[in-house]
Amino acid sequence: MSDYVIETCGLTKKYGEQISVSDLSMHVRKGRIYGLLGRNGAGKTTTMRMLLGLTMPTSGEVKILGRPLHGNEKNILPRTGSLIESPGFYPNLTGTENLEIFARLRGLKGSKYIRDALEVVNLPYRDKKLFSQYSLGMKQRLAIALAVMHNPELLILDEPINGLDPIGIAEMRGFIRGLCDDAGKTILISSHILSEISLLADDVGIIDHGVLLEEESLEKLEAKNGKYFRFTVSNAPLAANLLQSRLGIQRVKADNAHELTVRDLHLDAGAAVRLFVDAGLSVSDAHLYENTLEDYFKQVTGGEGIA
Amino acid sequence: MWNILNGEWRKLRRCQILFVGIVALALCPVVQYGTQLIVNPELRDPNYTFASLFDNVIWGNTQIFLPISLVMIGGWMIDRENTNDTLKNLLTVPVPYQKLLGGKLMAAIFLSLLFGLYSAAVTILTGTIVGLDGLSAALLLRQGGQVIAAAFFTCLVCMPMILIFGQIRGAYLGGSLLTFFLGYCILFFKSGVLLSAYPFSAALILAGFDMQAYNGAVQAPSMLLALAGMAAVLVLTVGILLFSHPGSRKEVHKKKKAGRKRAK
Repeated sequence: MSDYVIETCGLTKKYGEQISVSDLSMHVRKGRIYGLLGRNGAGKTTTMRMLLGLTMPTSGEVKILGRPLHGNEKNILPRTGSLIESPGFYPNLTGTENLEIFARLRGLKGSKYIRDALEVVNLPYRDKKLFSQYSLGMKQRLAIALAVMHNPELLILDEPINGLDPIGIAEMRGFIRGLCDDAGKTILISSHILSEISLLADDVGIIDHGVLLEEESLEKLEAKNGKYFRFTVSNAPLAANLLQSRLGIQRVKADNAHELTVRDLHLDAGAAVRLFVDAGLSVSDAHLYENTLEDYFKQVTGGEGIA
Repeated sequence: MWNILNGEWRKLRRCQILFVGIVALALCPVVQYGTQLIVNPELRDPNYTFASLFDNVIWGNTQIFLPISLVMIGGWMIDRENTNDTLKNLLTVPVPYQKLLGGKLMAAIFLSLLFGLYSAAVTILTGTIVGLDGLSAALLLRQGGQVIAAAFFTCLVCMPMILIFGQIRGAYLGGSLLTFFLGYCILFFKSGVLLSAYPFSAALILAGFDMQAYNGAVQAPSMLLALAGMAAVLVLTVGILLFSHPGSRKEVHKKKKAGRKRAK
């Protein structure tokens, strides 16, 4: 049986001729936090809506908890909790009254579930404040409470830290991490904020213009995009050749006539400079650079847009 | 289904839109009695009693006040799931969309019964204040019951309009005006098939209202045709329910937006 809690195959959504999500195949492993990272309008929300059956895919398949979603919604959806886009509640009711409606629909008996869910997000039980009087942060907390109230195995959270203050963000991060580490829940979280994903996710999917550009564990992504040497020499192609033939260095690339990038960190920079000088090349610069994840995401997505 | 209905009822807490029905139904007996006062003295009914006021209220409720109130409130109950963005929370429970709409219709029916009861109470209050004669237990039971029954059947007639205009964003106000127009049309059907089968007429006939005495109908209405008219409304309601889909409107909206973007 598949180890994936969420698995999509060739998932595509078109609106007319506009492609919102294109041939997306993602894999969310059990007991992990998967961060779906992309700029605004990249297709994160559409993807999540399709995972919950709120939007019908144009083509492709969604498997949740080992079963195709289509036709198994009654079995799958009660085992998931979700927060999609903005928190949606009835403005004329209090937070508790709102949760009571959904608890009843989910067949949850007694006030324990509601009380616990509100406690988790630091909202008072039986408060008289109406939802319409809530701040944005309180609304977001209530939406999280609704998502976790029925103790689901899978959480699908679309930008869950929206509207939270810095302390609230830190609390929410700890809470989500705890749900995964302590309660063994699988969590799919989307964000356009790189730092949030890098602080929270175990696995990362980068989506841009509806295309999943990369899917990797955070660990591997970080390793992949770590340090590299950059040399400025009088003849970069010759220098690259020397490093490969004399020192056996791999992953060497002459970026242009004078600049050389070496991603093989076994290189002894001093030995390399000596080799270049002995071969009659002039060396004007030798540096060890470190790429940040942000640089990498910009490189993968081809531009700006991720905070 | 009980949980859905219960939820719909809870959602109505503190909703100001309910005042539309409360005010409209309070106005009905006042307006009907007031009309009696402003007509020429020679046209006035010298024997205007509680029974006359009840007849006026039953007619006025079905012709004007209930169609406006019920379609506005029922349509709003559906529309608000989109405007408050709560539909996604319901569909991921999952609550089937058709069942959700069915629950809303049942809540509207329950509301119509309460409105009927309230209307009967307001009619008694108005009649008592203006000093009308003829109030008795038998009259209360018969015509009070007719007010409630007419409210119930009028709500059944309004169900297709509630479903159609509730699912078109922001259109429930327009829907209530259109339903008012449709309700008003009962005035014109005094004979033939439509006297009995026209849904709003059917609502009155099924409630036991005497169309000949009140509306000047030139022939006796047919209970069978009234049942057929009501059955047609119920079939139409079920048909609309079956073809209702939560995603269709939003996706059409998105497609239009995408089209506009391309055009730019």
